[in-house]
Amino acid sequence: MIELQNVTKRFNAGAKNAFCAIDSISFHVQKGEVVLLKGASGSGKSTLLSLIAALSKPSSGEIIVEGKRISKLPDHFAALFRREKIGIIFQKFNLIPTLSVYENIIVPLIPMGLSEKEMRHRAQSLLQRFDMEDKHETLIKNLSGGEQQRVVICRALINNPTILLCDEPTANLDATLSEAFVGMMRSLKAEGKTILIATHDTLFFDLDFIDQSIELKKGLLV
Amino acid sequence: MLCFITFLIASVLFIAHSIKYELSLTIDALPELTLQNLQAGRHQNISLEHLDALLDIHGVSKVIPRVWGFYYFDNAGVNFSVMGIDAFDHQSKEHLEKLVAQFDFERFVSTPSMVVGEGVLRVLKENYYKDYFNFITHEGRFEKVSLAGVFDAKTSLESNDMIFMPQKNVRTILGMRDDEATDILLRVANKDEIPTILGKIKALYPSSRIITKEAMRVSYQSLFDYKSGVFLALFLASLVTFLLIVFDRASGLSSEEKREVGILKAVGWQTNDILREKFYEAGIISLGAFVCAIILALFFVYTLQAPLLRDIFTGYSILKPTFALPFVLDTQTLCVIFFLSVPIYIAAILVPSWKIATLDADEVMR
Repeated sequence: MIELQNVTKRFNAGAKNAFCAIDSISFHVQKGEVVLLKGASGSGKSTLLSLIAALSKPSSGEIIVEGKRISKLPDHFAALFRREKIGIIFQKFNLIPTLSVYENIIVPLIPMGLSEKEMRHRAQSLLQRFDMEDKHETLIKNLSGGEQQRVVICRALINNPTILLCDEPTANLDATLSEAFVGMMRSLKAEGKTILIATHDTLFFDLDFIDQSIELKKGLLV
Repeated sequence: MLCFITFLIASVLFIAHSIKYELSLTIDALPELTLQNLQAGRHQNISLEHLDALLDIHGVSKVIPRVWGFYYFDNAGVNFSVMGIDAFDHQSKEHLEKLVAQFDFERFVSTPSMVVGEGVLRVLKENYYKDYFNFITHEGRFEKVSLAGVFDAKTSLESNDMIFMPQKNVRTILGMRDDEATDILLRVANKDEIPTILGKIKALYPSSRIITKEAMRVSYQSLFDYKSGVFLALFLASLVTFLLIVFDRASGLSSEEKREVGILKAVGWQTNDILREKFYEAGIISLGAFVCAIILALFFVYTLQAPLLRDIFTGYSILKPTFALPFVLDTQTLCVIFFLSVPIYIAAILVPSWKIATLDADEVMR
């Protein structure tokens, strides 16, 4: 499903402030697995997720997702790949504050040229599932942290991706909301989604549905 | 801001076009040739003896001697332009009857009476002359002339400082003899014959000056261009402000806008999707601003009569004209305003968006 072969990512190559965020990392994720990427801040977890999402390109090595080499995908195809395969839950939510809940959720569908009816139908079912129906017209800036995260999850799932990437998903949530998030991940695994969770939150460390734990330290696998 | 600056540019162009249109109408009505007598390089009155000789020139269809001059009204410190009307001039009769309400031409030419522009009327009223005015003649006597009418406000740009009265009264006030005129107008039916006619008049009266309609047009145009220079400065100031805003936009997106582009890329938007969305967004904003600015400028210029701005063209003198700006709206002006605002603003949005959208989404959101 997801395979990384000697993936390295260097920033500011050749400059005084050059550093290696990921250093020759290789691992394999099976379809439907939930993988935990552990490590302290700055260990390279987020960089690894952005490489798998084709948000940036590795300096060397190969990333293969569903048999497709995405490490050197041109920008145009990388966007198509994300649209079809990937759902991302960002640490800082990355929602558009001037748009409503509904508008934020359907953002990934707009370039697909779906009808308004179809977009509304997909958004409604997700809003219903994550108990956000009554908030669909609310502006993002008027939502609590927990509500914003549910919107991010809805947006990540709106195009029915096979892979879900979560970057420090509980960093901005309290204990109760973090528990709720774990519950959501459990149900998404049950649906067959492949999930990668980058976190240093100990809440995730002993969960029964985690199939694989990968620990990073200064860009290296521990 | 975009709307306000487009409104300023549009207002300036509308006023300029409106006044240019008014002036073009005035120039069109001018005679083909104006003959003046010069002595020692100065304009002198011309003898009416020349009329027959001028009419005999082949191609000259009409010869009109004019009696006019300036009258300085000491109390107000202003000059009135005084124009004499010939009792048998049917064309003047028609024009006056058209431009002056409830006007009786026969009574006008048979009694010492006058038709005045709005500016003159205002100055006279301010000096307690309501129904008549006592002119001081060349010889120092009083010449009482009663008020027969006021020119329509629409003609105020031309008629504001004018006083029309029978020729014999003008001669008395300005001290002109009966056998002379201030200048002579010549109508020429075929414009191609003007150079030949000019040569013939020059041969007959070597000391004369002949002013062609074209020269008048240039003269009017120079005056207009001088005043429109001030407008040009205003126009350029607005344009520079607009371009500074555009440059500010084009030099980079705000961190919020950058983040938005990054989010769109991260959720699967391609560069062309982002550019299309930005194009629609900028297009709606700039088109909306353009339409609002045009409506506001039309209202400001033609309904409110462009307070403050029109003074630049019409002057700040005591005899400031109160004419109504004629409604002129041509496609060319609209196109100029459109191309100065909408495409430039769209480009100012698209260029930085394109620069950001071609970067890695991860880099943009960092």
